Amino acid sequence: MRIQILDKTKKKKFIERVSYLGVEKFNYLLISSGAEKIRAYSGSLSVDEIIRIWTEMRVESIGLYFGKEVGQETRLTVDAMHLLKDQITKNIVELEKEQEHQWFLGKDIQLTEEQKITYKDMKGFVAVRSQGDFVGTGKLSDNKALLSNFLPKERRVKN
Amino acid sequence: MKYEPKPEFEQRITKLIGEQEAKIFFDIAKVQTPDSIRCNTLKISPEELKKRLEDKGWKIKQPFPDYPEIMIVENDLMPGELGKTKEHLLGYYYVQEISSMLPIIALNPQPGEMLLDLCASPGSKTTQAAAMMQNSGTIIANDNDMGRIAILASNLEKSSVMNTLVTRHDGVQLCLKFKKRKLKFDKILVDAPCSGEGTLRKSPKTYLMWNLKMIEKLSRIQKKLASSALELLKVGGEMIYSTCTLTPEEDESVVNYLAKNFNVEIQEIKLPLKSRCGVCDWEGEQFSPEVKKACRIYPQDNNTDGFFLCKIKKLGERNENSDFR
Repeated sequence: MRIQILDKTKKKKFIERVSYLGVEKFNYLLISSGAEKIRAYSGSLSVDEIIRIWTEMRVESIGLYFGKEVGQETRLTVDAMHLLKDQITKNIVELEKEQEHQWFLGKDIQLTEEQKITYKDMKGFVAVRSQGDFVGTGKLSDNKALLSNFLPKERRVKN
Repeated sequence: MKYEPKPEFEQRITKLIGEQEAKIFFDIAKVQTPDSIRCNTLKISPEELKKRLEDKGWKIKQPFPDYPEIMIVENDLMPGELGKTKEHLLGYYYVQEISSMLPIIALNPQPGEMLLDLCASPGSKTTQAAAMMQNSGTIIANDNDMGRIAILASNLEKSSVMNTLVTRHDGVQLCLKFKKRKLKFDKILVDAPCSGEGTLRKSPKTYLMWNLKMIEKLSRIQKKLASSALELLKVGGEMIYSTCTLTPEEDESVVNYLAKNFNVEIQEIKLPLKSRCGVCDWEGEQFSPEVKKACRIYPQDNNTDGFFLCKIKKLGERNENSDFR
C-alpha cells in the first residue's frame, strides 16, 4: 500500500472538509492511504521514521482509519467521531430508540415527519447520534425522508 | 463431542501440581470461564460503562480496585450476547479473559513509550496497551499471518487505537530488520504462540492437538522469538514473556535460556490475583533459581484460564562474541 503524509496545506484542507460537523482542529498526523482514505496517527514517530519503516518493512496499516474523502466533504468513521465527539456540534441527526435498532442492523432510516422538519436545513453527510452516542455517518436524501446508513458491516448486529 | 486429556498430559499436570490438584484442574477445565470484559478507556470511563451495562440489567463486578476497567459480568448471558450490545459494537469494551489482561498489567506501558508487541493478533493486549499509553508513544504490532492481521486491524479500529503500526513479518525476521535499523524499544511483549494448555475451558479441542513433539518444537520457536526480541530492548527496558500454556518447556525453560544467554534480571511481578512461582526443575533440567520469580496462573486459583508470564529487565547489551546460538 502506498501512503502519503499530508503536509500542512493538505491537512488544513482536510480539516475544512470536516468543518461541516464543527470540527476545527486536531493534532494528529494525517496519512492518505489510497482510495481517498485518510488515516490519523497520534504516535511519536517522526515523518522520516515512518517513511523509513514503511519502505523497509511490510507495514499493513498505520494509525486509525479516520475518514474518506467524498466530493467536497469527508465522511468520518464512527471511531474518528468518538475521538472528536467534543468538537462535533453541527449537522447531527438524532435517532429515536427504534431507529437505533434499525441503524445497527445496517438499514437506511426513514425519518419521521417531525425529524424532516427539524433537519430541513441539513444536506449531505451528517453525524448520526443516538441516546448520546455517535453511531456513524449518514447521508440525508434531498427530500429529508431517508437517512442512508454508512455503518460498516463489521459494526452491525449480526442476526 | 467430549474431549479427554491424553494420559501423558494428565501425568505431567499431576507432576506439576500433585494428584489432588490435578483432579481439580481437569474438573474446572470442563466449565466455561466467567464473562469478563475490559473497558476501553480511550472511548468511555469505567464508571460510565458500568452504569450503562447495569441499566441493561447486567450485574457488573470490578474485581480489582486498582484496575476498574476490568469487569466481570455475573449474569448468565445468552450465547453471543456480550458481542451484540451497542457498547460492544461501538468499541466501548473489549471481550477479554482476565488472565490475558495480565501481561500488559505487568508490563505497565506508559504514555510516550515505544512498545513492540511481537505476536499481536488478535489485538487484545495491543488495545489494552494503547489505552494505558493514552494513544501516545508508538506501538509496533506484528503478526505473520494475513488472516490474523485482518482481525488485529479490525480490533484496533474498533478500539480507536491511533498510535500503532501493524507489520506482517515472521517475528524473528522483524527483529533482525529492526536490529539492523538500530530501532530499540522501552517495552516489549512476547506473547508467544504456544500449545494452549491454559485455554482448555474455551478450546477443549486443545486436548486433541496436544503432543510432546509439538511442545518441543514450540519451545525452540519461543526461544528464538524471545531472544530476538531481547536484542531490541533498550538497556533498562522491560520485556514480558508470556504464554497461555503451563508446560515448563514453553515457559520456565525459555526464561532460563534468556537468563543464561543475556545480561538480564528476572523481576518480581505484582499481580492483582493469586499466582504461583515458576518451577525450577523439570524432567531432569535444572533452571536458574531466578526463574522462581515468574508467575504461573492456574485456572482453579482464580477461576480464569491458565497462564504463564515473566518480566525480564535488560541490564546491558549482550557481548556479540559470546557463545550464543
